[in-house]
Amino acid sequence: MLITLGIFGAGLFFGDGMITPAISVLSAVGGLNVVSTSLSHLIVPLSVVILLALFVLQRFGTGAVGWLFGPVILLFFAVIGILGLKEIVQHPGVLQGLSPSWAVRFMIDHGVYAWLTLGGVVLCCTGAEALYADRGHFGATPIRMTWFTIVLPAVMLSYLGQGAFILSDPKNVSSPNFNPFFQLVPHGLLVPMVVLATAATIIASQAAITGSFSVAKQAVQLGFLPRLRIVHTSNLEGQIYVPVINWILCAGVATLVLVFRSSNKLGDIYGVAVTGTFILNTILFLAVARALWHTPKWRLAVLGTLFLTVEVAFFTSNLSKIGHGAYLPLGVGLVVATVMIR
Amino acid sequence: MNGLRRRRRAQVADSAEGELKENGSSPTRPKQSFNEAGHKLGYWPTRPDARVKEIGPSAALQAASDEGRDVVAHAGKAVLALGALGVVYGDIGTSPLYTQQFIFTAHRNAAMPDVAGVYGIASLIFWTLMIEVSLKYAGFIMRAHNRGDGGIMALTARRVPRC
Repeated sequence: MLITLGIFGAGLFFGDGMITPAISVLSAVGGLNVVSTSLSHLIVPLSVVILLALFVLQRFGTGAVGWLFGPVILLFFAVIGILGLKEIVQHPGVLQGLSPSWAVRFMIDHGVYAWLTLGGVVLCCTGAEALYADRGHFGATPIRMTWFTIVLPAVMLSYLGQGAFILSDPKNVSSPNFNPFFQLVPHGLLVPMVVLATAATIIASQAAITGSFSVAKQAVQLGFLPRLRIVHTSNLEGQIYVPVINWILCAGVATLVLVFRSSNKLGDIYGVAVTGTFILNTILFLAVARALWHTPKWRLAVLGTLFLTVEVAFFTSNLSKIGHGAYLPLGVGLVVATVMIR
Repeated sequence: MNGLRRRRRAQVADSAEGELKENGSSPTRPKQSFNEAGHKLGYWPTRPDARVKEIGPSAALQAASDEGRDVVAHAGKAVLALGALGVVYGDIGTSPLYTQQFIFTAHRNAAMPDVAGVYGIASLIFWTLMIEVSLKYAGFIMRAHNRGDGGIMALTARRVPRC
């Protein structure tokens, strides 16, 4: 039973693995729309070209450029943090948003609509699974350390800064060019910011692709998948390339970009798989903690209740997206899981 | 900022090493706790016993077959942390590109551009990150691993009976 859950979780991971590159690269290249609306027709073709190139280059591994990933993402975090901070300094009241009372009030005031909004909020933690999935490459401590000292502060400054920006010009949200991320950027720096954001999202996509390769490898090792051709792209352990997975992902990502055409539309199908994986991970973790570490039942009950309450709220909210096309990642997840169980 | 981080990192490493040296009489592996880097510095087989060495498999082989064996990283911590930034946080770190744009476009019925809406969304985002990422993944789930590997397959593997 637990194994079936794990397999289904891995299947959902592939479903997400297709959306991450599509939504993130589209949103970064989408900054061109803020540079000038006359550039908006370039967004979809440019995104497709970038993503196709990324998949074609997979077989060479990341050895030659891999060392750039860390510094580029670090620069990205520094820039979004500073841009957010600039906005927060002008409207420091937005820092009150860190208090949980505002979240509670929002949920109580808006009821069903607030619950539906959770389907949007979940986008902020897509990719959380990677903290754990990449444990084997970096170890627990460097991952925890960077999360608390760099990533969490940087993204929160950006989120709060965007909030302050929305408050300073509320009418802007109904404009078709509404883009609180890129509208924080001074006009002269917009093009470099689009380039930096695109680089960051290429790195994010690379991580999603690499993650799919390693999940596939683990599944083969555990006997859940037939033996796939796995190419080692460097002598370092972990640098692998799985051609079949690469081309399935490539086809899926390109289709998503061409059909949905904007990150806002893709937001509608992103989240079911993510929150499904969260729930499965919580259940598996509780089972492992109980069986291997004999954690007292009351502690597991407290943790399980906290996590599952949040996750079930998110999951059910995301289920409402199924009508918008969220059955796609779920379908991919189901197909992959069926192949693995067979 | 950078200097401070480096110093903090050094302290973490020192404290783990210090624990070993100070309790030198018992060469046991320090207990893994939330903020401790001891398990990254190497693997110490518990109570190396000369007799076991003679008759049993080598310590290295024993270490390799230990279920609880964690990753042993040889790169410097700063290098690892920088590498982790790119690979681990690309996805969650680029979410600010589209999250609020999506929320304030697709959920206008609740997420209105007023104080309650903006603070409410900021608060929901912050607490979602705190509960799901800080507490669940960084805090708890990270403790479970399959010979250092994480991920849902590793968690599943811990439940697969071994021969």
